[in-house]
Amino acid sequence: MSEYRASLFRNGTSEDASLAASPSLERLRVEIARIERAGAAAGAPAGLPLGWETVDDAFPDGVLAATGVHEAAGPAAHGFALRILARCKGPVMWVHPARSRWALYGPGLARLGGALAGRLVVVRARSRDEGLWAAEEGLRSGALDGLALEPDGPIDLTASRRLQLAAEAGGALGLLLTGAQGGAAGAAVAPSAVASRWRIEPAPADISGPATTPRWRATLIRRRGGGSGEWLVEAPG
Amino acid sequence: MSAAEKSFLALWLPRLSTDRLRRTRTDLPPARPVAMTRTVGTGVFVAACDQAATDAGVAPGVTLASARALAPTVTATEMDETADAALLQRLAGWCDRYSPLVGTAGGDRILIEATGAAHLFGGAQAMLDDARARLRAAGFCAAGAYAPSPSAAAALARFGADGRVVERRVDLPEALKEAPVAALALAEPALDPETSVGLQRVGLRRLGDLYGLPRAALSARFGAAAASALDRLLARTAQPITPRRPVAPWRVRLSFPDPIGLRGDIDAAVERLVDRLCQRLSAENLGCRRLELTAFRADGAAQTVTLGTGRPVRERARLLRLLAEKLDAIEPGFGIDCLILAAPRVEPFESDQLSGGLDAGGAGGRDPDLFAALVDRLANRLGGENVFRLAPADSRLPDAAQAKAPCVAPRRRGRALQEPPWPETPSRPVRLLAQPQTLQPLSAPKAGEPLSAFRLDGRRCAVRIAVGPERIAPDWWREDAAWAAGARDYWRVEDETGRRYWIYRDGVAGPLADALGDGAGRQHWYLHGLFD
Repeated sequence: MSEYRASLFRNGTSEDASLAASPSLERLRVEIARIERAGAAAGAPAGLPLGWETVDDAFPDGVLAATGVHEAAGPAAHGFALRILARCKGPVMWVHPARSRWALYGPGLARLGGALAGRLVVVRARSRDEGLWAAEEGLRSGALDGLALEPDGPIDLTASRRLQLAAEAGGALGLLLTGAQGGAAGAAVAPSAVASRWRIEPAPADISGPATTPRWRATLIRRRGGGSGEWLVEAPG
Repeated sequence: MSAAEKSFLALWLPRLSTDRLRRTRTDLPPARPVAMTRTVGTGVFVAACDQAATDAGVAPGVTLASARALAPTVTATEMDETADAALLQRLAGWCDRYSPLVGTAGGDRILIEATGAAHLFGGAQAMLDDARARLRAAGFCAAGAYAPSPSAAAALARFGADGRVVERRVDLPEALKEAPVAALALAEPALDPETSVGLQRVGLRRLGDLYGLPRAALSARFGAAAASALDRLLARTAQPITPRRPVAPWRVRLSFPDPIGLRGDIDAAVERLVDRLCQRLSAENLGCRRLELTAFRADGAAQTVTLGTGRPVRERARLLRLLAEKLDAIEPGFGIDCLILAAPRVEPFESDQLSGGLDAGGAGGRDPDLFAALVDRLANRLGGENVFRLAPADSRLPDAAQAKAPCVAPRRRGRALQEPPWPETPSRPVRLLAQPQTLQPLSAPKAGEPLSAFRLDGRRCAVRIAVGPERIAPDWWREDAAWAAGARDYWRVEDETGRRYWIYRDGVAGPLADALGDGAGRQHWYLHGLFD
């Protein structure tokens, strides 16, 4: 088996030279450059500030592109996504697998502010493809300000690009929750076309003041247009 | 009392059960006699038989043994009334193509109110012949007639006047003159079966024999039912048919001289239907909430796709888009020869639809119509129960504190209803487990004290911060299995990594706790929610 792999690898490297010159690869590069430009420069609509001074100060134009898909991983990714949806103004949507044992809880959402519980539509998808379809429809429709997708399975490059294009077409902010492990820094991460990639982990609450302040450790792993960082931020209580 | 001039088409399917068997058992040669049997006690009797068996001398009522003696090759199968009834209902559904008012009677008849519908098919005779020809082509033994009363049409079809059209009431007595008095039972299902025997015993064999009798004498001798049955047969009194389902007043139909099967043709036809329906809805300032598209196939099958909308809709493009996703479900088979689009539920269309409901609460510059359209598309594909909003419910119990609500809020007199606000509670998690998960406690706190450590999914969590307890007790007058253990003490705890859990200990108060002595020794802890 290992021998077979090794020969495959050799074949791969020997073909690299011819691939580099192939016209199809060149076309792809142009295409990628075009998409990147569309997101960064032309898609100038102001980004969404997160309401955390330390983060917002580092990105005066708003750290989250308001039209684009952002990936969030880590144990507190759900809370992060809900907080962002609470900061959107209009109707928002949450797509999650129907078989999930967790459900969003209205009394908790109501405490996030922004009348989130009243304008949030919950969609339960019975399969990965249904979830992707619903998310794409929602982002593209132009009726939503934000949408979060808990996918029922891995999201490949094609799927994430489709979501990104849908978000650009509909002028919506998408959030892709890639589970507790996905998107870990340094780990082998599936390539994706998202506008930024985050990892949100809980951090011990600040108990120095009169009231305890729950906290998250927010890590910006990658961002289209540049930037990364790690911040200790206040989590919604 | 006189009835307004109406007309009905009756179809009689005398060999429905054997026809049904032949449709499913295509291996049966056409000449093979077929009999349906019914077991009564230890005897097996023929309940129905086909033409070939009848020709051999078999008749309903003989024993299976005699039937085998008369027709040695007979194929006998147990009668299945449920399947027969279902087939009759399906055929009646297929007859929706002729009129929205279709009913069934007696297990072998389909009655169609054809008032004002015949011209669509080129006249009463053409309509009748069309129905008979189609049923026969689909493999059914069928007879039909057209008359001003449903029972008269059934009597004509049943008693030897197959294909007869009687358009005027005054012609009925002449047409029915030769029918046997047994036809009275078709008009009055409650008629005593002895009545026709009694009539024949006194020499009244034909309906014509009854015409001259004084009504009072007929009633006195054979009961009022006999007289009223004759009135119904001769359309002297109105006899409505009981439709299979409520009639949708908003329906448009399109029939094709040659059956269509290509998706492009179907799309074009649906577009024309939607155009016509939208025109009619606009004229009355209505929008549809439900839409049914029925495709009638040349082979006698009918398929219906249904869709619903959250708000009254009459925009052509939006209805077409919703329908387009459903059209995949229609199998054209050998071709579709008729399409009917009906709106069973319509509501006044409100031009101020752009305000109200969710779209008023937080439209934030977004087009509320787009939102309603999005919700309709998702609900039609994923199922209405899978697209919802969360609304407060009137319960103190955490798992019952929220309910599903429609995405587009209900309206009354054109104004969105105000939704009650979420009640003020101590901190609540944003995600809740449908089924609380058992925690393994790693300490044994006394009542009213928090855990200091627990194990969850194999991971040890040391509690750094604990807020509580918040005691939540079930309503004692309600039986709720999840709360059988009595009151719960909820804690909001944070472990050393900063994860925040909503956990509870149950059995802290109530009968169970009393029995265990305040439940002090009982350490049943559960995870119910997460705060991030």
